[in-house]
Amino acid sequence: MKYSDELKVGLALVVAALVFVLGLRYFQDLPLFETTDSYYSLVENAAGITSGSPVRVNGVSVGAVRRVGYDADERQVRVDFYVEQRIRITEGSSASITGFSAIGDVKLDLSLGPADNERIPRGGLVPSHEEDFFGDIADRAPALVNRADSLMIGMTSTMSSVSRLLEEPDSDFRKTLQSVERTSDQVNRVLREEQQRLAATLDSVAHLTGSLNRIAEGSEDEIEATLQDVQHLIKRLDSNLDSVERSTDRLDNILEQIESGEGTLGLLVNDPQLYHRMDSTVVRLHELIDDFQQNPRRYLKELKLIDIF
Amino acid sequence: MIEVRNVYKSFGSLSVLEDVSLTVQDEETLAIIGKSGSGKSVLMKHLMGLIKPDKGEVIVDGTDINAVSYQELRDLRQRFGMLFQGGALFDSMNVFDNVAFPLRTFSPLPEDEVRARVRENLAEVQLEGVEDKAPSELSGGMKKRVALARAVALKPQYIIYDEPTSGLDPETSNTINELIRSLSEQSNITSIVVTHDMHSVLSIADRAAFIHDQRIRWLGTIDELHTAEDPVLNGFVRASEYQIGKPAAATNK
Amino acid sequence: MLERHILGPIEALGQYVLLLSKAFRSLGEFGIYQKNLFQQMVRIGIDSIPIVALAGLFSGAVLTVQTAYQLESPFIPQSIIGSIVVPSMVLELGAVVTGFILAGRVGARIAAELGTMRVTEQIDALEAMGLNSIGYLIVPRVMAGILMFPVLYITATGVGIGGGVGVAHYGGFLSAGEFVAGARQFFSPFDPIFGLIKSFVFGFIITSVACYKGYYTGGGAEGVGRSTTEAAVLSCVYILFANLALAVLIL
Repeated sequence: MKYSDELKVGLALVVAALVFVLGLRYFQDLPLFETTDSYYSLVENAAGITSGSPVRVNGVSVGAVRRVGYDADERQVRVDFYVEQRIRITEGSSASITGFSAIGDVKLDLSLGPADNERIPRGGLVPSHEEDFFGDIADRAPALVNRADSLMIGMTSTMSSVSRLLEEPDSDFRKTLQSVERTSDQVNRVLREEQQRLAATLDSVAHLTGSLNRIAEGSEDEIEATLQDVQHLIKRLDSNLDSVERSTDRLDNILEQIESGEGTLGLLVNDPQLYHRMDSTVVRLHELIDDFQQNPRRYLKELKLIDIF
Repeated sequence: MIEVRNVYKSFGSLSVLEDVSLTVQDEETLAIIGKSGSGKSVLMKHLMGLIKPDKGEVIVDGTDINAVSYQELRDLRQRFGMLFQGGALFDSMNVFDNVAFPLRTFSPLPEDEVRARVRENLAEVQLEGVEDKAPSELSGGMKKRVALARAVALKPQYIIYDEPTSGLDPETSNTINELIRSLSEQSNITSIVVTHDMHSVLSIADRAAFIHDQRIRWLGTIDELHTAEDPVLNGFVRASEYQIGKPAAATNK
Repeated sequence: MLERHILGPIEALGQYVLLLSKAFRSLGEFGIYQKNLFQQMVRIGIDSIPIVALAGLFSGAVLTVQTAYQLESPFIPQSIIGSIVVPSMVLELGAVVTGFILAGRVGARIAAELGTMRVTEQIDALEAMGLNSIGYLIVPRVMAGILMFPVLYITATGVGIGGGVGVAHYGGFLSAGEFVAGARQFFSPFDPIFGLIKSFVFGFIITSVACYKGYYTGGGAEGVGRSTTEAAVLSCVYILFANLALAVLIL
């Protein structure tokens, strides 16, 4: 089908005009087809608002600024703007320029009046309430600086008390650490003592076995008495082992305390001396128990040679 | 009646016409002859105001065509039909539209009458069945005939022919000459033929004006042409007559 | 020397202005030229839409990619690309790209057409018939230029922005939403009006210069070639000057 030139041209003109108008509205963030009402407001300072800046109600864009000009009669800046028709701008509404022009984010914020008030007629004045952004900043600045200052001071003092805590020999922090260290030493000592006593005990066991041998060869009464002795001995051994267990428990406790103690774990871990000492203690304890399990005879043999009684 | 009075014309420093005066009587056929570049085409263009003279007047039916408004001049030009040397058919239109163009533009005729008139005009120049062709598809002679059909479409009072036979073979030239003669024999038609083809002049013209050295050197009837005692004119005429028997190419510029 | 370099151009300017004044004096006879006007509007306007759209598409796309390339910084939000591409297309590229393409396409064509008509005496034929050749030939072309260039400008700009959004979105530079948000942030409703004014002026320059060159062609086929080239080149040069002049005067 062949179309006439007139039709083609007319169509092109209509489409172009539509694209132009809709494009203009689209980039102005106006509703494409909905009709709008226009109003104006008078403000002291344009504060970077330009034609095309959004008009918002409760933070939602509902229109755009059409024109900004100086009204010589009123000696104020006149801001003309469109608002979607469904927004009821009632008496008591007010407009204010918000945002920060350096980042191109200036808006006209409307706060609507009560819903049952009369509507401001189209083209009418929406009074402005100054929300002087720059003035605000200027007013608040000293307080803000003061607060920042005091915050800095607080931080500095905290830091210095921390370092003092670490440096001072009498500080609780130090004391805690020292007591941990002392406790570990004690544990160590206890374990060493127990080792000697255990050896002694085992020696006695060895004697006991020797006596038993002899008793087996000798009288039965003696055997009975010896068995009692053995029983007694085992009890003592038992109690000795209990005390070892208690020591281990205490060590556990201390470790737990270290673990739960605020920040002290780091220091504990960072103190290689302390760690190594504890480690070696535990290792020695292990060795001892292992040795005892594997070669009870070593201890029992000696029992033969020496009579504990 | 067209009167040319003391016309001077120069292009830059080149003088083309000097003190030229000439009268074209109603219903006659006047030939303007002369060598190529003698200024006869320029004189012809003065007749309908396509070129304005530096000095002098051109009066068509009592109106000084250089003193009237452009609108009046254009109304006046509608009394003229003009056949251009190369035909000057509009490239953008086919043959039919070319002939119909003046009718559609200037006459109040409805489209079906325009069609009838165009067919009639084309038949008059012995062209049929070429209506839908583009001018570029036509031969030189056919172009001239279509142009002629277009020139007479509005039934003009004056018809001006610019080199009607140049570039055509003798047979086609004769056809064109015949057409011009039959047109000029119709009542109320005044013809001005600008040519250097003496054969044309002798076969169609009543009078001839000879232009030489920017001036009209001789003016008279065809019969007087043979007995004229101007050596320059005689030289021109004899040279042309000598060529009449020769191949057409020799009659070109 | 004086005549050639100073009086020559001044004379040409006078001839150009006279031609245009004659053209606009014949505006009243619109009835006769109406058909021509629509024909020219189709030839100058509608037939140019594809090439103009293509040029617009690629300028928008390239502009977006290059802007993204230049602004690769963590401190600049990506939406700035939209804020740069859209006003550039609307203010400058849409009109100028259209102008340059049409200086070649339309300007050369008009000059060649009228030049050929001049050397084959078709213009004389029009005059001899009693037609106003300036009104008949020049007015419809210049008017078609003025009326259709805005359409072409809108086409180029619209397609260009579309191309920019497309490349940004599918090329992974930024999402269409960010692009539009950026564009809206700095959008001034006067920009497209200014672009439209430019396109009116460019349309007038191209068609009137081409008509002038074509109408006063002399010297046969060679003259037609010369007029055609001059029309295209001069249109481009005058577009550049007019672009600057408009920016200085209006912005």
